[in-house]
Amino acid sequence: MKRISSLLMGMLVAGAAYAAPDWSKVPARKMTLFYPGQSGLEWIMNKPDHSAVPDIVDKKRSCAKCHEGDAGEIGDKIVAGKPVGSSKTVLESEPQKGRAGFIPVAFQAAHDGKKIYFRFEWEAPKGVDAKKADPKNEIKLAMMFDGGGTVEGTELNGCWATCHMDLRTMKNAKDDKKTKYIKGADLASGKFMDLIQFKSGKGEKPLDGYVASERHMDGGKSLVKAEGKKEGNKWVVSFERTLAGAGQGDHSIAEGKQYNFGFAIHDDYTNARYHYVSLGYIFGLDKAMADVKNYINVVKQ
Amino acid sequence: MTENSPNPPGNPAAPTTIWQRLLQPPKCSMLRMIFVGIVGGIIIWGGLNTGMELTNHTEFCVSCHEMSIPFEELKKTVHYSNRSGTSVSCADCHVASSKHPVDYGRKLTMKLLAARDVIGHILGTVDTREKFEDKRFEMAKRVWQKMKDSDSRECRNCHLFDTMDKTKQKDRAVVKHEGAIEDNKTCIDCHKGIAHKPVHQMLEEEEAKAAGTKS
Repeated sequence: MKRISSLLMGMLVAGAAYAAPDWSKVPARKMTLFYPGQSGLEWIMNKPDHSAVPDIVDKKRSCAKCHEGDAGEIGDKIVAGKPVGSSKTVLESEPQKGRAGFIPVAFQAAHDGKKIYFRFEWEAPKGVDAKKADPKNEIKLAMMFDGGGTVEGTELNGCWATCHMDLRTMKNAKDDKKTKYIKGADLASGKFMDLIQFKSGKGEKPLDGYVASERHMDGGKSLVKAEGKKEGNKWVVSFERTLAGAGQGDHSIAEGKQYNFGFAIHDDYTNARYHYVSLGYIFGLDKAMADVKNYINVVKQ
Repeated sequence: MTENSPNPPGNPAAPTTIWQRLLQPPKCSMLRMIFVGIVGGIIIWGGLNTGMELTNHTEFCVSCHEMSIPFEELKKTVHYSNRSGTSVSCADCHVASSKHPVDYGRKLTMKLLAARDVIGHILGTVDTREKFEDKRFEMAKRVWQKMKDSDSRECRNCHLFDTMDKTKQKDRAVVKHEGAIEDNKTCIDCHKGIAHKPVHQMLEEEEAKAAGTKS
């Protein structure tokens, strides 16, 4: 059994080595990952803080529709401890001097019928002189996606379906170990977010987990590779994942569905909410949707 | 009428008082009449309009000390000072303007109704800061209603949907304006509190209270 499985692993690795797409042929979507502070879902859906609530509820407007252009501006305000928009609350109670408000990231995605590949490229912002919350990992990059419309709201808000005001380090935290969760999560019906993560620390393995009623950093069996390299100041991180989900908390990715996703970068040895986050986006295989602003077409290479 | 007034024989009593002179037909040429009429008309019409214009100047509005309160607030906003150097006067928003479309009759009517402001000044309705703050919300509501009734005509004198350069607007603005056109909204529906101290949050509180007492 061991021999067969190691043979299969060898084939998989060999297959992977030849399957990486020609990234120069894949269009990049420029995204602005911004510092979100303590802007959990409950804050977003509170009208006195976020006047756009009727647009979200009645007009089903995605975050990216209004905020793709000003995400950087918002991040700058939040990281400096200033209130945003019509809100009177401050989203960062302890601003750190010199911390960047946003990171521009180039996002690419492609598939080859068997596996899907994601690539992220960005310039590292200047670090700050602060205590390292995660001294082992200079950066972490995590991506979450649902099962194709299986988690309500994610087509508009991406990862915010998992982000709440009572999580650890958030404003209403009561339990300092509480991790991201989805209200009414249900593994059987696909109401969970598949989570894949790259950690830059030496010897760190790719993580394939999920977020349901709490966050699990394991269980998945679909993440084949998670690699990252820093050249000068530039980071390039890539994921390679089978299209068919195999493990617990794995979604299968197929044609005909649109998968709601988001990703975040923990920069400069940070943890918890101190990450830079993307707005909610959507990807689908080999289908163009020109009228959907936050949609990315993943084309077969 | 004096006893010594000359009374040529055979003539009816010659007019002596101004009133009598006005009621008698003039003893002058048509040309002189027309000329006097034209000059008189110009003086009256010109005077009326000059008066209107002068009382539309910001200096006139602010000459009532109460108005220095909202004026100082305006100075802090982009409608007063901005990178392009354009600036509004009080009349641009608060007196029915007549640029788009021309509506002189409305301007005249609003000017006459503005006499109410003079009465307010004389009575001292808002002549202290405390009185002004107490009445601020009520005054704001009146202005908002006026603007809504006129479909934000005063805003539209300068700001038009058609001439908005979407490439220069933030995504948020483009999306909201598209939504406003869809929903047939008018500028003042969203853009309250942009020129003076914002009090529109009190509207929501008022509505919430009303909803609370109803249910």
